[in-house]
Amino acid sequence: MELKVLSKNEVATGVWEMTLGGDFSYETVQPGQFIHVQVGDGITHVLRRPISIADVSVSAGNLTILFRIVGRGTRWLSQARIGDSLSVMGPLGRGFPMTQAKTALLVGGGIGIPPLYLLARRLAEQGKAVTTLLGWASAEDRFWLPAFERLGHVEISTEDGSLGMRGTAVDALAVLENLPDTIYACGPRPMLAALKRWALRHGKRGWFSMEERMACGVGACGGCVCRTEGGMETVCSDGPVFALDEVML
Amino acid sequence: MRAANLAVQCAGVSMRNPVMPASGCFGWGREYSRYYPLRTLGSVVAKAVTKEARPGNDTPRIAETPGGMLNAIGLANPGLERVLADELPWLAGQDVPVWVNVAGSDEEEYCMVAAAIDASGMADVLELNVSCPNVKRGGLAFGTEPSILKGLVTAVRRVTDLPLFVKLTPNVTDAGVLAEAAVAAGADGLTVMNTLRGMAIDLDRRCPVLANGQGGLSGPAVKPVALAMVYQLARTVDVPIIGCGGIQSGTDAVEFIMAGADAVQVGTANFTDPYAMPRIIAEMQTWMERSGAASIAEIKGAVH
Repeated sequence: MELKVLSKNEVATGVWEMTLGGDFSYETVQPGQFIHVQVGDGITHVLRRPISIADVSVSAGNLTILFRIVGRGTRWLSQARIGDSLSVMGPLGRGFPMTQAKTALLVGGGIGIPPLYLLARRLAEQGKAVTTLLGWASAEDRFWLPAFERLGHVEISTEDGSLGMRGTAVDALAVLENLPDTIYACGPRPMLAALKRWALRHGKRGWFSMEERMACGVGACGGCVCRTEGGMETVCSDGPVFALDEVML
Repeated sequence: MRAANLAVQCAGVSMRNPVMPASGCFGWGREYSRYYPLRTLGSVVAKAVTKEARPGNDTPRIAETPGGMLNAIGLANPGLERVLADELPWLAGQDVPVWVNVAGSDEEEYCMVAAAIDASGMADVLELNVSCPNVKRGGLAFGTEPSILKGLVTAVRRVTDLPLFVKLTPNVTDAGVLAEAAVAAGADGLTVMNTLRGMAIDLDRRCPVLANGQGGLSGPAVKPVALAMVYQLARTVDVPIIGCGGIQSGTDAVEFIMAGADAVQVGTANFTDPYAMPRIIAEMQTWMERSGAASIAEIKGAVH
């Protein structure tokens, strides 16, 4: 389907927030699902770009994505103008299951943070206590921090120590006073691997959202697989969210 | 304007139109059935099947390149038994001819898989994969040496009466010799072509982007290569040719028909646009009606 660019904003250097509106199944969006966006005319760039849904407004009929410019495709996307139409597939993939527990810990690193926002909002709306650990390379890379702070307790870490504690989001686990029941995370693989070890040590269950180079987006081509205890599974269709004890990192 | 009829007969198989997916780019069909009914297509080509389940290569398996993409999936599939139990029964009920791509590590495996799929009654055509560039054993090894290809096709021909297509690789000095070997051994048709071997480099990591190192290049970048190969082989052999390589539009498909193809396969374009094939069929219809072509036969081989 075609969605129109309603607004765009560079929230940190090279990181863009874009709100898209138009005919879309907003009411079915689960936190952790993504849209698959065509970049360019489809000839120079033959592959779409999978981008997590950071927020959705069913009443206003729009969704918000956050993406970092990593190559020519995402640069093209960042240059879309307000009013431009984008070809979008979605919502795609299996999102984060909502926990039955009372407390949740969300851990996000860098451009893995966006899908955690919609999750945090939904959990907070259900009355869960949400603690979020957010990590960036440096203070100037941060985005949406006040938005997360409105939804619960937030611990920040930066690799250069310019904001919060020095280290990754996982290093902030050490300062937690109470251990939450369910863990949700998205971020770089080493961060997820460290978090998995911590979670298993503390007997915690939870869910990780995985990233991989993707082609079809619908589970047809087998390009974006992830190794799990059950074998190879597709990130686009079986995921991108996997149980942390099943995903192999 | 005259109404154009897109229906074609290919090795005895009746198709509503000459457009089908390329193996591996359309899963088992079910994945795209939420976008349109599969009977919209001329046929559906399932992904490669091997005797045992194959996990495929490590990731990254995909890299975009200018005007194309590299893939190194590695023939990942759940294995013959599960394909017969879980995937083909649904596809066989979709009112569209089913092509199944057959792969293996040795002649015995190819024959075993081909015979089992034939016996299941769920396939209309077998396509032999002798051109996958992304596996260590089998695949390309069978498609680059005429005597080996001839032996393989002869062996598979003995175990099945289904129409047998051989999917050829462009990664050879002279595809004509291989086409002749396949046809002499009993192939009913050729799929032309599989991907071109290619590579992309990740500067920061100082290594290839793909975990497999190399992969197969597809997409609009390879279309001229595929067209030339179809053109050459249409002059070399007298069996149906399925053109495949970078087709993104109805006019791209018409170019392949004019080069000598009887039908076309669409791969990468499905990733760019899940509705690519229905759009290509509609665009072919429009082009033919505007240019006064009443049938595919009327334009087939027009450039020769």
